Amino acid sequence: MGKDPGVSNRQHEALGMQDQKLLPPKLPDRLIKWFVKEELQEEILGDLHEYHTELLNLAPLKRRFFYWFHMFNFLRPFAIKNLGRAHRINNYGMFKNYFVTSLRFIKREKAFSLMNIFGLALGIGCALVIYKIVDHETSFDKHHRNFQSIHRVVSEFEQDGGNIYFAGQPHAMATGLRSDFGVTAAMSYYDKDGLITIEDGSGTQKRFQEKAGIVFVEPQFLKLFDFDWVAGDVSSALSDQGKVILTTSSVEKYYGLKSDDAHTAIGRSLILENAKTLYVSAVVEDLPSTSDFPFTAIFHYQDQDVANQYFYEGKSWQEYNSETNCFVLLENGVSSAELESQLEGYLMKYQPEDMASMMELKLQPLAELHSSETVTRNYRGATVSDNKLIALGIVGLFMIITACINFINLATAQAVKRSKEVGVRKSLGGNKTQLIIQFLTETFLITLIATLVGLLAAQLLASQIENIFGYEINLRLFAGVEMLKIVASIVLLVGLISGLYPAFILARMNPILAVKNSLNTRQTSGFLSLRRALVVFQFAISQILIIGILILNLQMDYFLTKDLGFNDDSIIVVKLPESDSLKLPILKNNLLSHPQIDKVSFSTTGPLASWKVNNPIYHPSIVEENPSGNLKNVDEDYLDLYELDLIAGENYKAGDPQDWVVVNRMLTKLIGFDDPSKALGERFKYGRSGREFTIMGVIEDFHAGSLKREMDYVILANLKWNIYQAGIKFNSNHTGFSEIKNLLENIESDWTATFPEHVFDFEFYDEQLASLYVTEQRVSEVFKIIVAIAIIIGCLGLYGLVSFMSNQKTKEIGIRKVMGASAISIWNIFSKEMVLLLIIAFMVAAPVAYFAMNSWLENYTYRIEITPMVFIISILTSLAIALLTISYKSIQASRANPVLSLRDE
Amino acid sequence: MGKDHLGEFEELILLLIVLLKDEAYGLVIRHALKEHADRTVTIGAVHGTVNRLEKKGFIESNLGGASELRGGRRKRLFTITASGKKILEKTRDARVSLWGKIPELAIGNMKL
Repeated sequence: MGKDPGVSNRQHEALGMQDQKLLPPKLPDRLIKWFVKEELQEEILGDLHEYHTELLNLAPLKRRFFYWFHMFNFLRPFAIKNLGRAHRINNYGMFKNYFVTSLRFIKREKAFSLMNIFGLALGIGCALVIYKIVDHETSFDKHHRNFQSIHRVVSEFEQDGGNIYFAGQPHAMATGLRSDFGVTAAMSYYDKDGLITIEDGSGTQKRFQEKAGIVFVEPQFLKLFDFDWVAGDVSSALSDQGKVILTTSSVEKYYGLKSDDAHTAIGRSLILENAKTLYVSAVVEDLPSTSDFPFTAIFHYQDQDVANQYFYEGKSWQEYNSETNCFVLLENGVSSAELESQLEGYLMKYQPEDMASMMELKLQPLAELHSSETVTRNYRGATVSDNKLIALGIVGLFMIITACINFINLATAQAVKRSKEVGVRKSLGGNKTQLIIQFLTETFLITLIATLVGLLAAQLLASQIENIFGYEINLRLFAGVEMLKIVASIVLLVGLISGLYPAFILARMNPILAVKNSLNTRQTSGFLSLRRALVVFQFAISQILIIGILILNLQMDYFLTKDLGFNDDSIIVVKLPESDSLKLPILKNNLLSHPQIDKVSFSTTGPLASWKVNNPIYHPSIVEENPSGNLKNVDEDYLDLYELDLIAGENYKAGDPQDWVVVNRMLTKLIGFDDPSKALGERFKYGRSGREFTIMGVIEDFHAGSLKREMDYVILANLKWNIYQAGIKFNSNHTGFSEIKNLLENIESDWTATFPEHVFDFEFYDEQLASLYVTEQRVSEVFKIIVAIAIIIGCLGLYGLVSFMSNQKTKEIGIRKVMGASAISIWNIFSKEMVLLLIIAFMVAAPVAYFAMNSWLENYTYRIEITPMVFIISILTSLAIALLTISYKSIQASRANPVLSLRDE
Repeated sequence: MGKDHLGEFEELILLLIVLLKDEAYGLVIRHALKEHADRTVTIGAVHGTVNRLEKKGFIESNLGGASELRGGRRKRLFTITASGKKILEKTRDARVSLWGKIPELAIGNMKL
């Protein structure tokens, strides 16, 4: 019907030359050509033109009206073009057929589909959660408008084994930078343990120990960083001392005000460290979970004098501590390198030469605050390096890949079963492309279902991970375009990766052989070897993961069980808010009056602690460059309580001179004594002020810091300040639950009687030590989950391979059985190959895992050796799992009635 | 509407196509409608109906008879098919038999 409309067009033009006025208007023609189906255009335009001649005796306006009216009347379904749908309509039926056959296939092969969907879902779920973790870790601090231009000032110390960096800066740094370079800079001091007291009208007091941390900042800080202001504003919030900014959740906690009423908190008061009354000047929204500044209250910088005894009005250029940071904003196109070069030698202006010459000032971009490997200190207390995230991402990718491999294995295993269908489709004229599309449709359908199930799995997994990491993983599909995009691309990618190969294999089958069902290894052996490779790959991944988790756990065990050189058992640690020399002896006596308590000792920290007082040691015979000593001010019961091993001299007593110290063996070696007993009576200087100490005793070396680092030079001094905690050793005969509870109640009542204005808190010392390795602990827990999932997916793949083999070998097994083969020997056929594949995989996995884990272990000074045992366990576990998996199918095959398998021709 | 059913307007047009013999095309059918049934419809309505009739197989068409009036475009000329004739007869028979079953009185009333 569709005749060439071009012919009439030419005629129209020829005619148009005669008399334009008598011709119908052109616009309606154009419209008709635009919206009417091409095959109808000729007759319709013809009729319209003929109609136009009938209208010639009418007035032009009327004529035009009628003509247009009739033209528009062709806006009818029958006449309107299908706007490009014509082709799709043709394929629609085919797609419907693909869809229906896919559904039928899924329904018919329930076990196969379930395994496929389950395996894919696990892989996808796992990858989704990993994606979310990586996404969370990489979006830190990005909510600040100045994210790109905020930098933290850090000090660089030159050292042989690579420079080291410290984030702590002297209080006067920002003031100096502002006046000397005209930059926007601000100091901040973070107090992880601020004590806040709220007085209500009736005179009762509520006390809060702010574990999340409070911060003291200079007003410029508010210009650098963005906050979500609920009430109050940037310019006035910290314009003066005595003002405080609270978050909505702390407003609720302190004053019981819900977020709607949060603004009414303005002007209300709170007391800081029982010393200073401040007034709320502004309320901000809680900081997002992706903030490295986890504060609940923001105070004026000058108000920290009550919380920080080393503040010195903020004018010091020499007082360093890791919680005092300085942030600068790079403006007007100044690059960080430019400012850094200006800062070269800057400290000379304010510090004595020997101090200033030790370090250079560098700028660390805000982006690295969360990911730096060199400056691991931030207010959140932990950095996550990009390398770790990349490693995690690779694991996530592996999960997806193993799931895809699984799918490929299972789908190709089914290929033989589907050969008849392919044969029929091909004989009826289905071409290769159509078959590929059909099988891809099927894969996409399965992938789609798997992704939905995977989202559920991810939800379950996320709740586990949330417990481990302590932040919320938002997996809501419709929470944002991003999540939808991710899920869509997962479906697309996984569908393509896992669908293409099986689709090609199925589509290229020879239809005659396929219909005759005589497809055998000859036709399929090509992909059998690829399938073997895939299985080896999959085995290798799961073995790498198994070796990894084994080594990780061994190292964790090592951390937790290594002899640290002191005793950490049956010790409760309680904070001391004041080093008051009058109160402490009374508290000690009171505590010791309880029969369950054996010993009490007051000290700066326990023998091993996450923070330390660190200062240089001076002695004429020291050759090492800038050695620094870890000073702990401890009382006379310290050695006894922690069972530190005295090897020479003796411990000091309560009334002994304050310059008498006990040092560790390393320190005596440092100042030139191989025999510690010779060092007794020796004097050395400590710290910039040159305080002199006399060695009275020497103890055996012990770990004063995390096992990730070298041991320290330790000085135990008889000084009366910097006393922050009480170690309480309880009698290990009284470890029942109720006895411990009773003990804690006693300690609390004594403590509260001594420090009525503070909040009691305690820790078991061994648990405190374990928390030093919390990152490793978390990683290991997450890894355990991932390894378990990887193994499950691997088993599914293995099952697929074995079922494929048993499909292939039905006849062979039948014949063997007829000839008298035993079930065991048939089981052997399957297991022999599996064991071989597994060993090949192991040979790939072992070196990879060895190098990966060895480089991880190198992060730790004290670490385990990787023993062959790890590898033996790993391969034995894999073997056991693999053989168990294949046994079901192979036993089934070996028990099948040979008559049935041989009769089927 | 089912494939073997004829609507009132369709029946009318089908009859006119028979009447117009070899000269049945859109515009002429429209004129004939006005002349014989006193119905004024748009050209589009006629085209729509013949299109439907052709799809149902009651008429068939060929192109021809280009003229200058039409800008050199051919007409689509319709002729009735065997099944078209059959359905016309069927419709007529159904009516006749219905008329035959209605008592005289009722007809009298209806004529009012």
